[in-house]
Amino acid sequence: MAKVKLQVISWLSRAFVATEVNRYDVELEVAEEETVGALFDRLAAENKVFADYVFDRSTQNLTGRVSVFFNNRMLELVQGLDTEMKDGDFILIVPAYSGG
Amino acid sequence: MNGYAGKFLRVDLTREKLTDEVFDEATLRAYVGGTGIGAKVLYDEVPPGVAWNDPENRVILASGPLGGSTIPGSGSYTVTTKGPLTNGASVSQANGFFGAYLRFCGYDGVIVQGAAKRWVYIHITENGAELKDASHLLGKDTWETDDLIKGELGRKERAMSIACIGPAGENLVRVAAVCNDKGHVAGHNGPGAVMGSKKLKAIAVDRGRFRPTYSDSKRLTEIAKGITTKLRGDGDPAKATFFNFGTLNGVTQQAQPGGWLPVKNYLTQIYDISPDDLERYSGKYIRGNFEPKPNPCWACPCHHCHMMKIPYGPYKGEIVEEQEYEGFVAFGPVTGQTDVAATAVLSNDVDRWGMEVNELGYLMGMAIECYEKGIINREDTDGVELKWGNAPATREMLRKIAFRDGFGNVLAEGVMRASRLIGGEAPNMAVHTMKGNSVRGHDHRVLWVELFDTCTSSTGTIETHRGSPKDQYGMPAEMNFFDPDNVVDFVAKAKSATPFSDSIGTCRFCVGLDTRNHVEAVRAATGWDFTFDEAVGVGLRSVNLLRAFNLRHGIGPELDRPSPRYGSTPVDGVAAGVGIMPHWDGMVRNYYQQMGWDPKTSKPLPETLKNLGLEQVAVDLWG
Repeated sequence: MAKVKLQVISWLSRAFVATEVNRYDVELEVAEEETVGALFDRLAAENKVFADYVFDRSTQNLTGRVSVFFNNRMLELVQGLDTEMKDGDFILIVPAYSGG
Repeated sequence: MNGYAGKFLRVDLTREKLTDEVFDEATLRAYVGGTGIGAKVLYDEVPPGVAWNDPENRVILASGPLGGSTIPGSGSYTVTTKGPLTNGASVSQANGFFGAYLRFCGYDGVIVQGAAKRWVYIHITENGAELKDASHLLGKDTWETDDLIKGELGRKERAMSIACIGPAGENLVRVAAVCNDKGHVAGHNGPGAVMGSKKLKAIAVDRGRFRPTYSDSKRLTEIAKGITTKLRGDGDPAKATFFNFGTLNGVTQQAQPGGWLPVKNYLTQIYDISPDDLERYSGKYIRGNFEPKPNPCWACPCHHCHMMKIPYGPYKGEIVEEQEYEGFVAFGPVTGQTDVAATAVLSNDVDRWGMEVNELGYLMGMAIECYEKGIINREDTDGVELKWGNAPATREMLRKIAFRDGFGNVLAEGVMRASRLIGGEAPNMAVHTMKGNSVRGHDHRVLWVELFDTCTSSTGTIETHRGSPKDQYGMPAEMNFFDPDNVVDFVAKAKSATPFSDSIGTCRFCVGLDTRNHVEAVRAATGWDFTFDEAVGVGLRSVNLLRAFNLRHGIGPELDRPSPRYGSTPVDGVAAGVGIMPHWDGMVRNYYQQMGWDPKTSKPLPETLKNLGLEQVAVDLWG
């Protein structure tokens, strides 16, 4: 097993805590070489907020409502949801950008 | 006619003649209002050869069929003109009360032409309109102008709405804006300078007693309640964030963690700020410390706009209007500022002088970078020490720009022209499109949709919006926006949503960009059997008219590009080393094809125009 750190920003913190906070950090256990997509699918299965706002299990894709970063790099510029994780990796989820 | 006040006010300043003008129902259905009507009037009435400061240019201020209704944020209006930064179309929106009050005086919009011999303002009441002397208002900022006009006409704060220019507009500063209700700004591509060229200081509108009739008021109220419920967060915490804090959390909860904060004129994406100072940019801190007093727009239920008091530091006690995210970015990270109080004061100054905050951010960013690198010195800047984060110096330079004083006269030309006047390496530091307008307050090098859209837009600012729900165009919810094909697909397919939304007279923050919802509201207001496809047609009609307008006014496809700095590859941050420019030419070709435009000239093809009922435009472009 490996441990990765997940950080969520603002209203997304409701996926993990009852009261919204600006930033919430959680450490998660993952299998070696488990993909980000597989982790998100697991989280969405047990967490409605996560399923509503982050990962759509029916399409096996992101909802389009968040931006995801992997080790301070945009997830799209790594291997997307197929990105494999290892011990110490850092995933950041930020509410999707809106504006100009 | 349901949904409309029924007439526009046409003001010929040269002849001092004010007349009512009626658009027939077919025209209103095809163009709706706001941006749509503005694009039509601009195209029809401003032929090639008419410069932005020619009396024959037009300024069109228009609401739409939902203006002044119970729909949240329905005080909005659009300003359309030929602007001085691009020498092409200028299309901007502002919220507040102006759009609603126009309708309460029985007007859906105002079309201004000609130029006055002396400075004037227009006073609109429910009984008509008249020109009034404005010579005593010269040099007054937009807040002072607001107070003085209300004072002399005996109107209380909310008994009148005033769209006006400050000294920047009077002095034909190319980044001058039209400002209303102390803090609401229609500013992209210099519409304030156009008003200044016409010697028109302000348009003051009474809160009249006229009310447009609606086909199905009950349904409209239901829709309004639904929008409010959504804004309050029922089922959507993201929307509740806006409801509670407006755009105040944009820096701390989106752009900074997301890596799309533009820092020091696009030199970096790393905002060198302490955690404590960064926290001060949050809605929670500002609301808790700046003594906010609610100052909401017409029919807006959100806790968004406030008047605030600076709580500490050299500007302690100054009253400012709560800045939008764009203001906090322009005078925060873009100019190397880390003190939120200074940021609030500087961006408020820009509003009061009557300028556009994005443009001023990148203007100052470019000037500061030039100063820091020795391209200009104290002698050039009249002794003003333009350093990153030097708030007093920035404040002084903002004033100098508004009055075209000394080095301010150089910067008053806008980012692109000012950089060329400075010369040397300065043009390589300037953030703008090659048409001449600067850009919004995100680092678009990690937001390719915005970068591509800003550069290919005909409006002097963005023309598409990422907030448009993708499913209404058959696109998947999640798209990789570092894929050039996806970027073009989205920009082309979502193209109609923003101009349509800006045609109905409502605030985008409140009603969003789901065209399906807008169609429902337009149906309830007008009684038309209005369809989604018709709404798409309204948006595309505007987009194609403005593209044709720009082409006929000399803006060709060679200008659909970013400046070297704007299109540069980020050297750090979440997308370091990944640049858009290797894909650019292919993206532009793909975009023209998807839009139904000629791949070389970008001219809308005859068939494209005919499908939109723009046969005359096809003749104008193709013979």
